[in-house]
Amino acid sequence: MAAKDKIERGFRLYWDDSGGNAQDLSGDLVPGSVGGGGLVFDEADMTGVSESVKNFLAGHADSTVTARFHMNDTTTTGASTVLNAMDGATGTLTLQWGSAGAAPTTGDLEWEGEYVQIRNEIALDGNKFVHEVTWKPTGSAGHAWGTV
Amino acid sequence: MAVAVTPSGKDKLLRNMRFYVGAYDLSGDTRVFGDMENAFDPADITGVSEAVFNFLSAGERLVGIRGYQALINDAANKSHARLKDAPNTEVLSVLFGGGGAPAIGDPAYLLSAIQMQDDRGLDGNVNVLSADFIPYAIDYSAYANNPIGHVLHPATSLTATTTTAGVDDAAQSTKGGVGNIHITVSDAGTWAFKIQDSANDADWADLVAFTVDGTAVTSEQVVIAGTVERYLRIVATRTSGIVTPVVTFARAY
Repeated sequence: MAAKDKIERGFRLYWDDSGGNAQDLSGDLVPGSVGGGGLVFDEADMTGVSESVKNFLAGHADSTVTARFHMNDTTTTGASTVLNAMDGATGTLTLQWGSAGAAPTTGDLEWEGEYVQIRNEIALDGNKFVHEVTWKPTGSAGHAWGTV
Repeated sequence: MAVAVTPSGKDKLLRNMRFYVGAYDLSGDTRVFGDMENAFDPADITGVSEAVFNFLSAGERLVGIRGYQALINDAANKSHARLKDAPNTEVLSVLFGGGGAPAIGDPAYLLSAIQMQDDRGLDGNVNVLSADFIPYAIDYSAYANNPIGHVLHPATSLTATTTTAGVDDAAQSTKGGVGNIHITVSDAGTWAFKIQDSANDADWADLVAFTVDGTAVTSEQVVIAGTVERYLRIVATRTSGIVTPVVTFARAY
């Protein structure tokens, strides 16, 4: 049911593996590390010299997604296994927001599109290693909000 | 039929990491890494009339170890001795142990590097040295385009001919790869080391042989072109002596 209840516990992130199969990486997703979903537009400054207030139009939009994942080499489903085979490759990235901390179900919010995995670096996060990942949108088809 | 090792999962802690620089284990002096780089420049292919920026990978991968910091240790073959003469060139492997010291199949980061700095400074009340390691142009190989691979043999002493369990990389690849060997202990005996591959974890063939022979501590990186089958293992053949070889492999995609 639509409501103001989209807490992190109910968030899911799916990324295609090298075989084109969507893998749920949420179990390895570092809490608080996801950035993205939605569009961020360039600000085209249309201000004229004589105008008293700066005014703008929206230019091109970006929908970069970033996240950090625990290093997990579990066969097929581990974040390391999936990400390490997708460097520079394109696939479908899906973000879903479940309601009230539950797993996403039909009707819940979803952001989905074709992305290229541009960055998969290993970094220290406290006393453990993580993958720092950046996906940038690819393909001419626009990305849009939808539902599960 | 051989059974490949099972990955250990989500358990890669800093205290189980090992860092090999040439023939030397500097893990005991290592304090922190900034990043182990693995990224592409994005190629902006956005057309004027398109609503959303869109990109492809530009194809040139950025690889390197940045922000490395070690305690200054002037004992023989420790951090000061091994890292004081930038720009050193070294074969590097970082091994990520799963639930304990690194084992066969654990993740690894490989680099044939040139060390670009040897800064000294203070971190709190401790003297440290800092270094960045980036790909060495003289050793450049198109088959070394992916730095992330697996441990084929950890730092374990060998006293007899040894064939390791296989490491399952999930699928065959066709763009080659690189293998690193670090001989960290040697009593001047003679050995031969090779990497084998297999499509089924049962029928094995030689993929590449290292030229190092175990008679001295040393390191080497070998490159492989073409097909690399799904499973990998090493064979260490003893003629004489005792040796500790650390072997890592990363396949190119």
